[in-house]
Amino acid sequence: MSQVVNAVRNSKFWNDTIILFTYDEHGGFYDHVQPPRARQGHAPNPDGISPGQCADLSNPPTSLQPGKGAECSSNLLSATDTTTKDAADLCPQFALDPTGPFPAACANFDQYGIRVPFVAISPFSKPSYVSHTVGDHTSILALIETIFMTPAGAKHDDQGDDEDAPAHPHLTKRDQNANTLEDMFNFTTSTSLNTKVGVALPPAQDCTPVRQVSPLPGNGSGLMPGPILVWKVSATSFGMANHNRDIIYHMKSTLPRRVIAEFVGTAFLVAAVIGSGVMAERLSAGNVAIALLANSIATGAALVAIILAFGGISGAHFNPAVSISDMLAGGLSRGEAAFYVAAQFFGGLIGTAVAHLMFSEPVYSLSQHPRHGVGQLFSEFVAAFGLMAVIWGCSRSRANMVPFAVAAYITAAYWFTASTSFANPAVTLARAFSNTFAGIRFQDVPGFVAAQFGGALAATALFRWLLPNLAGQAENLLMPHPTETTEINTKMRTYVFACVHNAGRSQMAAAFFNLYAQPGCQAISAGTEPAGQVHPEVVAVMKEIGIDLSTAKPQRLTEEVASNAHVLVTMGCGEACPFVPGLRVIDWSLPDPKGKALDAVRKIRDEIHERVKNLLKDDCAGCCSDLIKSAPQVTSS
Amino acid sequence: MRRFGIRFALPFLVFAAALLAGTTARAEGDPHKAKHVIVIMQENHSFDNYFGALAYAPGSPYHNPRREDGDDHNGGCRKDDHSCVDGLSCRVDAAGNFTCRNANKDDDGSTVFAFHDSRRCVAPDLDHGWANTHREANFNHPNDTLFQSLMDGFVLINDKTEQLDKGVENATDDQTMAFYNQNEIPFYYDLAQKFSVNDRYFAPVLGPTFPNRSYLMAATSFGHLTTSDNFPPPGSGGYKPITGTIFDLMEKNAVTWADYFQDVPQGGSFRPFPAPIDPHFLPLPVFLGQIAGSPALPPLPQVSFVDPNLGVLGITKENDEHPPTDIQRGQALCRRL
Repeated sequence: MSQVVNAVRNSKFWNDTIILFTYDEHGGFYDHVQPPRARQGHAPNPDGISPGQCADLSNPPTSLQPGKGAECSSNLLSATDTTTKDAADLCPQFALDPTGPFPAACANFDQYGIRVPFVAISPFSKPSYVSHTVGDHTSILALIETIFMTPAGAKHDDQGDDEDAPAHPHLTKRDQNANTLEDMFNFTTSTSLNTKVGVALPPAQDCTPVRQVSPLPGNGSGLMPGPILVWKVSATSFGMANHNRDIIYHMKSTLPRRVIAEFVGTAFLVAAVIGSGVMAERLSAGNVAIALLANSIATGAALVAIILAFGGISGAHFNPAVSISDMLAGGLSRGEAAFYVAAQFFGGLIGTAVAHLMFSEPVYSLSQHPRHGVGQLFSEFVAAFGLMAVIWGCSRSRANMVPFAVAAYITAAYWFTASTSFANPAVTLARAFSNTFAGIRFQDVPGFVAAQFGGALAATALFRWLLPNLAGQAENLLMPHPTETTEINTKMRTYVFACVHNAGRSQMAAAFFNLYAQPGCQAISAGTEPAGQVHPEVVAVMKEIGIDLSTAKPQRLTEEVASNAHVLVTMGCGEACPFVPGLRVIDWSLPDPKGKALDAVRKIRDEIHERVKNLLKDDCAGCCSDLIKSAPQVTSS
Repeated sequence: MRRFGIRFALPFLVFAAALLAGTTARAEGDPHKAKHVIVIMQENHSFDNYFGALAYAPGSPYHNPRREDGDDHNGGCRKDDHSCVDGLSCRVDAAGNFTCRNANKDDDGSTVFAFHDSRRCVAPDLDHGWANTHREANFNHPNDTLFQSLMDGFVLINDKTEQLDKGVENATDDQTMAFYNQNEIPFYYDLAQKFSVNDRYFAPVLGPTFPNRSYLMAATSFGHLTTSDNFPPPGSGGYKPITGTIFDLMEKNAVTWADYFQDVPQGGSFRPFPAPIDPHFLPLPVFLGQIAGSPALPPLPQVSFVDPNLGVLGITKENDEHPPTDIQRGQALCRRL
């Protein structure tokens, strides 16, 4: 939210954009307001299709008949038809005749759900305004249909009840009759054009470890139960992928790229500082003022260029004091900061060598240039303090001006500090190995570095107080840069079997799957709270049919592997299953074998065996081997 | 200063509105001045859960319904009072502690009052299926929610299904009665106080994610009640509602659109995904690049759906605010990209 809203707010699009921010449903949280009745709330049944009587054109002609929709009753994959079951749960009369007329006494699609938040963020938003106009998600559709599908300036129907106004194009009775919620806006004067938006705090908690799954099936919509585990039944199941039809997106860390950008950028910075110093010294005929002028101008100009060049990749810190400050403000993790700082020091040393090679100097030479004394140390403190203040202050309000502000500041600081403003520990160390105009005696380095860190950290501490949302901008220091990037990979076709402990049902299912599947297909099994070992009774009954699970160990699945899933099979989570567009979800209602008698566990095993075979038959997708056709009949012994 | 100005002007606005008796507040001007609409739909929070305490935020421009103003506590705010927000009925002491009157009965007959919760991780995924959402709205007669919804089953249902009653519970054990305020979701509170907010905006059906999101995309769920269906249906490249989808309608009317996703696009229920991918499904960084005016990208479409990371491919990056993720991840949505 924060970055999306801020990006729009600070862009050229802000003048004519409406951001509508809301929630899909209440998530089981209390609300005190009654969902309105149909007549009051413009919430008629949209299309005459009743609960559990799914109808669409994805599977014609059967889908057109009530109760024969693609999911509702012709679902090859799911053992239980969840939608019909839910309808029958609330409406027992429906269970008697699922294809007949929907009982009038039962709840239908003619009422809104629980109230959810809705905020309109736009220059047209009436400021600090609470609308009481009744709406729902189809109000968003009605607004889109009005703005983009009716002639400009024409009279239109904002309340869904104006018979004189021409109707906007619509899909069903719901969006036809929905209020457009236009009263939240003033399109004549953009009253909120100059309203600023804040910055969200960074996420501070990882809720993953406390994730719990109810031991009883509920009706919530849980997401894929937490960390999952991988287990391989045989080497062949991880053989060469022989069909890479499916494309998936997944996110990849850009840390290596960012670190290399810091390395190259710092090297360039040091090469510019030392190189321009050598050139200035050679051309100035001993006039130190002229030499320093040239040196400072060249450094400032180079800074603009390399910050612009690398800022979008790593943020262009090029300075351990900046990276450590950013880490303390929450922008970098400790690990990232360590890589950044190492890359900066190493890059600086390479930069020294580059400058020397260009000017035919020895690759490294210890500097004899003394820089010490309280005045110089204090200068470094002031220089670094000012640098960090410029960075924090400018990155808040004028992020795209940061390269120019930093370069301008450094150029000026060359002249107003007694030390010519190193303000950078990595550059300071690199300059110790250059016995040229820009050098610094090695024994003077520690004092400089300490003063630089002191100044930068003092500025960071001050700005944390001045700007309480400092953490919100820390990740975008000095310039916005991605920390992850989207890549497209082709992978093996992967089925994920998920239950709670990954010590029984999902283990058995994955084992059976991998037994029958072709190379190029794999099963991964998963548990929200992985147990220490596979249940002994499960190991025992699987051993009876020649499958050894004694060495299988519930482990956690990395996101890398989870992101390969093509099909998710959930067991024992009942209706608490995820909303997964693009990913096929199958729910198997199976009892937990833990602690049960061997006979009961055998029954569960055989049930899973049959389901896996049917899954492979029905959804072959190149995964089912010849074995499946001649699969041995497994019976309880 | 701005807020004080608003407060000062409000009585006059209310008075002016009262003069225009009978007219509901309409838009001023022509909505066609808007050239871009961006829809961000997060997951799983009720109005009271997030904005029930909006009127109690320090410096809030809003107030709760007031009896003396003729506000009806059951019916909410006076229709023409746009600084009134229909939230929870609470007292707040000097230390910021809440005492609220809104309550649900527990199964032992005790009363669970709405309480302020500073735990940003909600441990269970509370019950919001079709059948049990109706029971949350009317515990004894869930098929009669249309006629009466006492909103009396939240504690009873979740104690049975998603947050099992441990026998003896303390006042903050039933997290369905929890609400957040400016301490937990400062970014949203800031937006809601500066821009315009609606306190009569409802989910389209008393049910879970898919039917409700389907209304956003197709204005119907064409019979579907659950989220554990096949998405998309086998072999068809997406559901094809008889009345079409907003995507179809936009294309028919030459409206440009995109569905920006992090793990999977919500439009994947209606258009081919993962393969072949509908060209309107774009990774979120493309949106940020278009907003930044990158010349390498096509221009920002007229209608954008910006989807959160729904946690489909693992919950470690989930930022849709669906319990049990940290709700602040949603506020920071895409900061991590």
